[in-house]
Amino acid sequence: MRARYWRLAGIAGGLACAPAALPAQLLVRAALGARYTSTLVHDSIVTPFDVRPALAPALAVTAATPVGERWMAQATLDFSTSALERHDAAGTTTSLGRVSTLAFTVGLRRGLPAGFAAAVGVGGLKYLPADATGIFRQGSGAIAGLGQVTVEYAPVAGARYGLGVQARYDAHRFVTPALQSEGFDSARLVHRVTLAVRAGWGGGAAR
Amino acid sequence: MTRPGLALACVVAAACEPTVPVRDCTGCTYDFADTIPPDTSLVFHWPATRLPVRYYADPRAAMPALVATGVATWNAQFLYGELRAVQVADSNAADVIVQWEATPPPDVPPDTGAAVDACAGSTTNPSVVFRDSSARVLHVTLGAKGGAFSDAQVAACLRRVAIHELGHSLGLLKHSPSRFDIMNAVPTVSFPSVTDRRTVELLYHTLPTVLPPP
Repeated sequence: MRARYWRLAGIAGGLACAPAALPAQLLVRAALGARYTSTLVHDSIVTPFDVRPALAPALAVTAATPVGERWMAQATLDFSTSALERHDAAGTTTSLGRVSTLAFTVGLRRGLPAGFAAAVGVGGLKYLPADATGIFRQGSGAIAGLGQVTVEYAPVAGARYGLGVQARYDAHRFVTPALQSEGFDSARLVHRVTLAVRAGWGGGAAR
Repeated sequence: MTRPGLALACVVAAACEPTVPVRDCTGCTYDFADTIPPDTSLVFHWPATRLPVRYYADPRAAMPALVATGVATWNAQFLYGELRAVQVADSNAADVIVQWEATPPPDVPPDTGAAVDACAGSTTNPSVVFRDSSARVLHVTLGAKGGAFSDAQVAACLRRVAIHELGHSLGLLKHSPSRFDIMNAVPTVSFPSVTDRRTVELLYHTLPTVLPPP
């Protein structure tokens, strides 16, 4: 599992550190931020409790190319990792081990006035638990479909390095084979919100 | 939002909320608590502050493998991190010591035929040990029964009974009335059933009345 993380980090790093080799119309951006994820599992055994990941660092690398005057087509690889936690009704929190997610989306981005831009994307997301225990004891299940919306703001002062801030929202449905065995009859809609700082290279002005 | 729009949003939101499994149905679990008449209920489980529960296995014959199987089996019953048990090499660092009752039986591959009651096991009752004495450790003993049993039948029996006795050490203090459960008085199944799993799950979400020493 650790080797897989390093491989992903290598791919992301390689993309982010290769501005010299970029074609003129290709724009690469890396965004690093923090991610909140809503409840993955709500259950009740004697008393109710929720399972959700802790606030997680999130790294996203996006490659984009213009497809019109204001539109760009883009592909994004997104990785985040944090502790999975059980939150009991009494207020206690129990760590259930580490879980990471890897998502790939493709979509369109449109520049807006005053340094803003908005993007939408669709793709897939995979959960990568550190251990095959608990809700992941029978694996993490199939790749989940993912829908994503991003809003960015890039001040003129940071245009040279494509500096900007972005807010990302995405949603997917979550269930694992172990939860299905337990009797959960359907997947749960999970929301994720990420606030990130980004930098960009290539494609002229990285806005 | 218009009324139809609101209704649609409610339907969509409801569709996104999976139904929580039913666990308190009749027959879904069995009693796990000891009782002192008329109305004292003794509920024991290892609290989160005492995890992982540390098991020491007598190093002779198949005991380390039997305990490893038992530990892995019970760890796998939990979805939400309620229990974590490990095997330790030092008996002084153990919460539960598992030993042979007498001379270890030969370590042979288990018989794959019908279950035979060819062995025995016992566990000191945590609700007694931790409530009425200053002891800090539970003891589990396993051994072969006398009789015309093959070594393979004894080996298969020990595998079932080791899981059963470790279940007692986790707090399943009573026997299941069903022969399909590993916690039946004479276990004939190889692994915990859904009922065993739901019972131990329920136990670990129930407030204990007996606690191990800190």
